[in-house]
Amino acid sequence: MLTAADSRVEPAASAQHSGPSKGRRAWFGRLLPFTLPVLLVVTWQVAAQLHLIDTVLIPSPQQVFRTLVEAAGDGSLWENTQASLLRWGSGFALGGGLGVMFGSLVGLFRLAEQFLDSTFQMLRTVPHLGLMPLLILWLGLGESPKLVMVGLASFFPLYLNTMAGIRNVDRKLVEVGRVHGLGTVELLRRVVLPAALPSILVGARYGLGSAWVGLIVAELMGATSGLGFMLSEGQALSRVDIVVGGLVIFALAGKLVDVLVRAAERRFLHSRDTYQGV
Amino acid sequence: MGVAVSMENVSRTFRGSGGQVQALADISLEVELGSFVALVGQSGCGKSTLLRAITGLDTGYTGRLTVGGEPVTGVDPRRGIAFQEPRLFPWLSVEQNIGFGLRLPTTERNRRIAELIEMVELTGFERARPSQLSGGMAQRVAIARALAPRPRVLLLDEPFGALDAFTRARLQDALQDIWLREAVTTILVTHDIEEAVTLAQRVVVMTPRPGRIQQVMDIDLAYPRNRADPQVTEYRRVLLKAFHLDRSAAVPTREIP
Ligand SMILES: Nc1ncnc2c1ncn2[C@@H]1O[C@H](COP(=O)(O)OP(=O)(O)O)[C@@H](O)[C@H]1O
Ligand SMILES: [Mg+2]
Repeated sequence: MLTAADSRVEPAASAQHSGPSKGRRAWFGRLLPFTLPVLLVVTWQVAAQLHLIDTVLIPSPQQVFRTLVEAAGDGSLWENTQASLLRWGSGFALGGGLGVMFGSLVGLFRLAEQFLDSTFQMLRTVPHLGLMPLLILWLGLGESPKLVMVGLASFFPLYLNTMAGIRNVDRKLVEVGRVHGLGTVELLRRVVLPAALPSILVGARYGLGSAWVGLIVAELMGATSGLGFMLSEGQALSRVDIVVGGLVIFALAGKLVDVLVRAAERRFLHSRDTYQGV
Repeated sequence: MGVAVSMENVSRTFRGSGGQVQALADISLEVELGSFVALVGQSGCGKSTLLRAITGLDTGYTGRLTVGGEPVTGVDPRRGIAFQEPRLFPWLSVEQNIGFGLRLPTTERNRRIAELIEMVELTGFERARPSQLSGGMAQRVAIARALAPRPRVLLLDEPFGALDAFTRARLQDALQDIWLREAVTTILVTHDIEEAVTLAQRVVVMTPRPGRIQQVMDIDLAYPRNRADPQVTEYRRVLLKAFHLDRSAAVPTREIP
C-alpha cells in the first residue's frame, strides 16, 4: 500500500509555529487591548490633579475608586451587583431559552414559520426599551417587569440567530446523515443542531449584550436594588462619583461576561477557517 | 458469482419549472458481487442521478432497481457513499467522522475506527479537525466513513475529481488496495478515463440527453494494476476512441518548427 505522502505535501495538523519573535508578539498582543483604557485613566487622573477639569462634575479616578471601596465596605456594592447579575441571568435564561425554542420551531417547520415568523418580525421592530413604562403599569415595581424587559431584550437575538443557523445548515451534510440511516430526531440532534450551534452562540453574545442594556433601563425606572438603582441614587444625591462608579462596575461586569461567552465560543466553534485579520 | 446491483429499464425524469429533463433513459445493467464497475461519461449524462438512485437518496426513478435482490425504496446503511466533496462534519474529529455511522459497543467501535484509520493511512491524525486536513486527506476520511459500517456496496461519485493529479493518483492506488483487501462491490463514477481503466473490471460508458448506456467494456487485466502499464494505456486509447477523442489519425496541417 502506498504511504500517505499527500499528508506531507500539504501543511499537516501538527504544524506549530514557534520561536522567540512569535513569543514576543504574543505578549505584545495580549497587552495591547489594555493600553488605551490605562492611558485614558492616567490622562484623566493627571487632568484632575492639575485642575484642568471640574472635579465636582467629573470626579478623578482616585475619587471614584475611593467611593467604590466605601460601597464595597458597607456591602451595598456587592448587593447591587448581585441583584443585577441575578436579574440578568434569569431574564436571559427565560427570554433566550424561548428564543432558541421558537427559533428552532420556525427554522425546522415550514408551518411554524408561516404561522409565527411574520408576527415576530413585526414585534421585533417595536423598540423594547420604550415598553418599560407600560410594563411598570401592568406589572408594578417588583421583579417581574425587569425580568420581562431583560427577557424581551434577549429573545430576538436568539430567535433570529437560531432560525438563521438552522436554515443555513448545509443540505449536503444532512444528506450524509440520512445515508447513515439517521431518523428525523437523530438527524436534528447529531447534524442540524451542531451545525447551527455557532450561529446560536453568536445570538447568545448579542442577546447578553442587549439584555444588559435592557436591565439598566429597567432598574433606572423604579428599583430598590441593582446597578441601575445605584446610578439613579447617585443622581438623586448629586453624587457624580457614585454614578461614574456604577458605570465602571457596569462596564466591567459586561466585559467579564463577554470574555466568558467568547471562551465558550472558542470551545465549541469548530471550523475556524474564517479570516482573522492581518 | 451472484449479482449485487441489478437495474432493468431504470429511467428518471426531472420535472421543473423549465420543463422536463430526462436524466436517465432505460438503464439496464448488472453489477456482480464483489466487482469493481466504473461509470464514465461527460458531465450531465446522469451518472450522479444513477448513483443517487442506487443509494436510495432519490426514489423518483421508474423501472426495476434491486440491491441484493431487494428493491431500493430508500437509504440503507448497507450502501455506503462518498461524494466529490468530502462532506465531513466540521465539529467532529477525524475518528469521530469515521465512526459517525457505526452502531457498535465502544470497544468494537474503537477497534473498527483504528482499523480504518490504518487502512486509509491517517495514523497520527485521529484527533485532527476537518479544517486541518488537506483535500486528499479529507477524501480519505470520507471513504473510510463510507466503509465503516461494512457496506455491501460502496458507491463513489467522482471522489477524486477535485484533487490535483498527484494526489488523485495516490488515492486511486489506495482505493485499489482497499478494494483488493475488502472485496466490497464498488461502483465508481468518474469522468476520468484513465481512472476508470486503471481501477475497474468493467467500464460503463454513458452518453447524455437522455442519459443512456452507450457501451460496456470489460478490462481484462490482472490486479494490482499500474497506470503506466502499456495494456492499460491501450484500453485507455480504445475508450478515448469511443468518445471520439482519439486523434492518432489526425493529419498535421502545418510544420511545427
Ligand atoms: N434534482 C434535479 N432536478 C432537475 N434536474 C436535475 C436534477 N438532478 C440532475 N438533473 C439533471 O439531470 C441531468 C443529469 O445530471 P447528473 O446526474 O448530475 O449528471 P452527471 O453526474 O453525469 O454530471 C442533468 O441534465 C441535470 O441538469
Ligand atoms: Mg455528477
